[in-house]
This record gives sequence, C-alpha cells and structure tokens, in this order.
Amino acid sequence: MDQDAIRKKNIRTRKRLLRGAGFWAGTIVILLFFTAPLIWLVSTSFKNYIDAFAMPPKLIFKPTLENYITVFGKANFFNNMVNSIISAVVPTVLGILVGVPCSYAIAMLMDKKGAKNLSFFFLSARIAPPIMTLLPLYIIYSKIGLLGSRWGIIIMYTLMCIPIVVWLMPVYFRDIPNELREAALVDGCSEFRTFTSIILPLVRPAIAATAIYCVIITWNEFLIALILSNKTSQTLPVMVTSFMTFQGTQWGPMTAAGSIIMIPMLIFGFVIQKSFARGLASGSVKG
Amino acid sequence: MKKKKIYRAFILPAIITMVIIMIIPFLFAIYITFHDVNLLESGGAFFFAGIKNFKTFFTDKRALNSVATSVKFLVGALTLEMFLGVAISVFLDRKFPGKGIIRALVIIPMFMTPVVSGLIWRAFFDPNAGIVSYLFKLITHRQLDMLGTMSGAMWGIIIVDLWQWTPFVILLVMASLDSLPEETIEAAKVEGASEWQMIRHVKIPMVKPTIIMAAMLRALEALKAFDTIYVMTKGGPGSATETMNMYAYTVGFEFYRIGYATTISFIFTIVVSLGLSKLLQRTNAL
Repeated sequence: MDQDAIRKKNIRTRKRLLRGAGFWAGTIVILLFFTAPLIWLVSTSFKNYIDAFAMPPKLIFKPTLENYITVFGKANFFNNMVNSIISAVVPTVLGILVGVPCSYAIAMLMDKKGAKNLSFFFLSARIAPPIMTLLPLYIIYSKIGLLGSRWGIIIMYTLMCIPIVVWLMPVYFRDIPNELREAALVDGCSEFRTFTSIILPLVRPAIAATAIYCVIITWNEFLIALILSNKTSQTLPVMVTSFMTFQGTQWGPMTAAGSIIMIPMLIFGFVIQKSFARGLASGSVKG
Repeated sequence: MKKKKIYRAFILPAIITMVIIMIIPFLFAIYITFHDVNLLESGGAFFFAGIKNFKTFFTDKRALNSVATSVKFLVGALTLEMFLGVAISVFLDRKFPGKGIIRALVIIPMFMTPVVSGLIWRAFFDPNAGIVSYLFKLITHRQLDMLGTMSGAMWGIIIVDLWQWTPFVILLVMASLDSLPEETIEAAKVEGASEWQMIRHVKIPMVKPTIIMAAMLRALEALKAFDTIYVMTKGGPGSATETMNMYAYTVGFEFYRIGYATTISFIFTIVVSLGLSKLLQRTNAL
C-alpha cells in the first residue's frame, strides 16, 4: 500500500520533470528562431571576410572592427544618420502635437457615431499602400521642387505618425476617471486648462511610448525614403541597400551598418513593449 | 455646447493635416488614373486616356498574376502568423522564471528594420554560404536554392514575414491573456477542466476579440509588404513574388508609367477598403 503510494508519487514527479524539460526545450527553440537573425547580424559585423561565411558558422573568432571603420569612413554616413534622426523626430513631434488633442476628443466622444467615423477615417490612411500617395506626390514634388528634399520625406512621415497616435492614444484617455475631469471643471478650470494641466500629465508615459513607437516606425521606413530622397537626403535604411552592388553584397560593412541602425530601435522597443501592448490591442476600430 | 466646440478645435488640426497630405494626393491620383503619364517618353506630360488604364489592368497578365501573388502571400503569411502567434502565446502563458525577459526577446523582430531583416534572411538563404541552406544540406543532403526557385522564393518571403510579425501577434495575445480575470481561470480549474479544455474553451474564446484585431492589422500590413520583398527577390524569380504593391512600384518607378502604376495601386486600395469595411461590419456584429 505504502510502496504503491510512493511509486505513484514518483511517477507524478517524473511526469512533471519531463513536462518541465519539454517546456524549456520548446521555449529555447522559439527563442532561437526569433533571435538568431539578430545574433548573426551583430556577430558577423565583428568578423573578417573569411570568418563571416565559414560553414558551420564560427562561434569563436577574433573580433575585428574593420567593418565599422569601413562604414564610418563612408563619406555620407554621418549625413545619412542626421537625415534619419531629423526624418524620425520632426514627424513624431508633429504627429504628437496634432494627434494627442484629437485622441482626447475622440476618447471623450467615443459613444457617438461621429467619433467612430473619425476613427475609421484615420484607419483608412493605413489601408492605402504608401505607393498610392507616393505616385501623385512624386509628380507634385517634382513640380514644386520638393523632390529629394528632406521636407518631402518629413511630410509623408507625418502622414504616417498621426494615424498611429490617434490609434494608440484614446484608450489611455478613457482610463482616466471622469470624476477627476469633472472636479476640475467644477473648480472653474476651462476645458482647455483641464486638458493641459490635469489630463496631459496623467498620460505622459503613454505619450512617451507612442512617440517612441512613431520614431521606430519612421526610422525603419524604407519605400518612401527610397523614392523621395536623393544622395544628400537619403536615410540609413536606403544607405544600407547601397552595400548590395553588382559585384555582390558586401556583407561585412552591411552587417555593421545594419547593427548601427537597429540597436537603438531595439532598445526603444524594449522600453515601450509593456506599456503599449494595451494601446495596440485596443485599437480605434473597435470603438 | 462649449464642450463640443473645444473638441472640434482639438480634432480639426489633425483632420486638416490629413486632408492636405492624404486626400489631395488621393484625388490627384484618381485624376492620374484617367491619363497617360510617362516620365521617360514625354517628360511627365498628361494625355487624357479615358478608362484605358483600367482596361489594360484587366488584360495585363502580369498584373493579374500580381493579384494572385498578393493573395497567396496574404493567405500563407496570415494563416501561419496567426496560428504560430496564438500557439506560442498560449504555450508561454504560465508562470516561470524569466518570463518577462523571454517575452521581450521573442518580440525583438518586430522592431528590427525590415530592409535589414530582408538582407539578413537573404544571407541565410544563400545557396552556398547561407545557414538555412547549410542546415538543409546537413539533414537532407540536398542543395537548397530557396530564393532561386519559384515556389521556394514565395516560401522565403512568407518565412521572413512570419518571423518578423508573429511577434506582433504574440505581443497582443499575451497582453490580453495576462489581463484575463484570475477568478474565471480558477473557476474552470475547480470545475476540473483539463489544460487543453482550458485553452480551447476558456482562454481562446476570451481573447478572441484581440485575435481578430491582430489578424485584421496583420492582413492590412501583409498586403502592403514591400521592403523585405524588394531586397530579397525584387519580385523574382520571374514574377513569382511580384505582389500588387511590388508591381505598382516597378511600373511606376522603373518603367516610369505613372498613369498605369497609379491605376494599379488605386484598384488595390479600393478592393482592400471594400474588403475591410465588410469585415468590420461583420466583426462589429459579433
């Protein structure tokens, strides 16, 4: 009797251990699949030409900085980086300035049909492929001399940022208890004052997360920059493709440039992932 | 009354900006679709062409093929992303040490620059020096030229899309699973639900709105996929991976037939909007 109980208990623990091992094995496979490309990118950027394509991949190698030196040595690299920073920051600021008040109004009006139509209006900006807007803009820009200018890109990126803000922000405004707002109004604050000095400070973290998301999206953008920029206004993602030449791809410098471009965005992504999952999931279409 | 006015003032700047930079080009695009505009031959002069561009579209084999390619890519990528995304989220939905870190690592791809992701996978798929080809050869002793064959290339771009965007589904679904009320889960446990029953009949139904939402957003983005396809295959080999979006780009910015390219993307936009609004009506009814 007693022995039987012990045996049963043993079987149960063994089963549990086995399931634990299975879980961790599965988790490691998942992790490897999603992170291997990044690991390859960063490690290859420190390899010399011979190590880079050794098969099986060399896990231990003598790191070299030559790829980074090649990238930094490119005449237009820093110019491209400045372009990337400006083309990400300016549209983000504009998008926040215009989009946040709009999100607040949408959140307050949400029960009404008009607000729903509004949300759909902003969503529709995401339906049309960028090329749909790019073709007519290409002609307009070439007529008014904006083609190849940084401003041309900034305008298009602002068009990307506003819908993102209006899509992510309303849920955070809806979270604020109505009593808080009403108390401020009773105290004699105007609607505008209530918004700027009571409501806005409460959603500051959400605004920060949304802004960071806009920066990531615009920093990573490729097609618009490819078409509208020229040598002096081109951004980093366009510059990376210049390592694909007719003689083949220069993998060393390419991976170094790729790492430089991506690392800051990964840090940003890491910072915001928790706070903005909610905004993403809520989405304005649900209304 | 006063309240309404201030809201209007809050909304207007956003609307005006959007109208100027979206609606005006859109209306201009409609105008362009009725014209022949070729930047190479006539320096961008407009010639009225009636509905010629639309007629061309429906007789252009390459255009019709691009529609089929878009649909193939959409169905392949979306199904796999949703299935894997939900499966992985449910799999990781338990308490274990390091959960936060692991989740953060899994969603890394969605923040990676798509062009660079495309280049990385192009290197992985390289028939001679790529890791994927190497592993494939190790297991099957056969040479793999993923991006060099018609069906392989389609799978190649689907794999990259699912690698980059399954994390998006995971992020949404996991956040939603986290916010499920403890009591419901506990109650189901007390009732004696097995783990599988719990997933099938409690967890998944409860996060269904998030799943639908994620699928809709993924569908929209997958239809617009460009960067990875551009650096990996440029629509090739032949036109095996030439989606509508890619074809519109080629016609517009490689052949410089702006009129026809605009027509392609216009048809694309209309079809997708109609599909989406149908879908929205149906999901709202749920």
